[in-house]
Amino acid sequence: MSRTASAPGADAHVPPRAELASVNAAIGRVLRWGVLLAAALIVAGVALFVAHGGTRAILFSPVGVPAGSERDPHSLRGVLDGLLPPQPAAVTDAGLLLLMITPVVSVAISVVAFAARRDWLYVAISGFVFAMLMVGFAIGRA
Amino acid sequence: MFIEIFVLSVAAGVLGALLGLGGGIVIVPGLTLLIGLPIRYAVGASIVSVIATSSGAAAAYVRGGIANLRIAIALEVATTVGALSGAFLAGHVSPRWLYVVFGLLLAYSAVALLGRLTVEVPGEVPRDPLAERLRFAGEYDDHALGQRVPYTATAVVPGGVMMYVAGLLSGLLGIGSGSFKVLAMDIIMRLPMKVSTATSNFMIGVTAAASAGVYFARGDIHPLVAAPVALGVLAGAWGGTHVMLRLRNTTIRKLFIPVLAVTAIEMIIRGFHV
Repeated sequence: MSRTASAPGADAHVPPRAELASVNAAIGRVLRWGVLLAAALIVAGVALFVAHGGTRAILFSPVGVPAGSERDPHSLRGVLDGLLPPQPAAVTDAGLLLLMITPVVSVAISVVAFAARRDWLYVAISGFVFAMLMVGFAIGRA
Repeated sequence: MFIEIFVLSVAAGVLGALLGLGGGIVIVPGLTLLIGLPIRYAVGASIVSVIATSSGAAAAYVRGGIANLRIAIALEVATTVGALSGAFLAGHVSPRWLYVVFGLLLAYSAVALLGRLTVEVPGEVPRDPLAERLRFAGEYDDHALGQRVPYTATAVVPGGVMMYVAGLLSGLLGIGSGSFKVLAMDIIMRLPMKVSTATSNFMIGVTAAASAGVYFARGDIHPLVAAPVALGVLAGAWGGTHVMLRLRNTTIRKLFIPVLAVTAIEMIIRGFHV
């Protein structure tokens, strides 16, 4: 039997879209909320920069960029320490970090979403990808 | 400065969402040549741009059923293993030759794509048992054609090899390599162009997130540079997804070819300057 592109998945009991709808919805929600929360934190951080130093604080010239960067937190602990009381750089960085972990969280959620569908092949595949990301983080920290 | 970076980033976000790329091709030369920032902050900002494009665009594409999650996750196996091998190899291979070789590969692909300019949907593709086993078949609503387009993938193993190479380059050179991912899906696996770019959009964020922590810890991600980049790219990507849904596959490919050519030239030039 030759399968044509006009009828892929014709032997499946459910159409492909309905089949993955729950996983798509879960990942879509993670991405949307991750992005919205990150953007809100970044806007708050920029607002704090302006509140502390006026618009000159963000309208610097390229030459002025390195100034102050020594005081930027470069670690998770540094960022968390700068949140209370809120420091402009720490709040902005918190938003940027949230943005950075959003794709990782979406992979973690896909493991859960595929498990809920008892799609063990894809639980294994997405679990492997998540493990690879964790190995990458571990190497990056070393 | 803030405003200029924001405007540049909106453009990067629109382009990235349309073509499945991370916007590094706009961000790095834009920030260094136009705005005059040190390359270090430009590269850090381009990582932020890749993740912002990816999450911003994929939020719409995943919910709209255009990005194929199974294909994305399964191919991420190849890209993440590639990225890790790249991290281990870094320092043992000369980036100079990598930039030149892969720049030439991209240039060749741009020419190869010219032959597919008029292909709107792939139609019937050779059967691939692995694609069936992994249940890669899907369908999507094409707003430009006004119909649901069913599709399936072919040549999964060669496509996976290309994805491994894309991951390897991300790990070695710190580039998003979205163009390689789109090429793997469009030319090798014969997926519809929109499915390729939307799926690539989801994938590039996952690949970039793996190395973003390193850049942050090194202090390359400057908050006042990365903030307008993140906000601009998110706004641009959000707008870009609305445009992309209405475009024809052939139009997206026509936009992709010149961008590919510019990326190829940028990589070759960087190869001679590293």
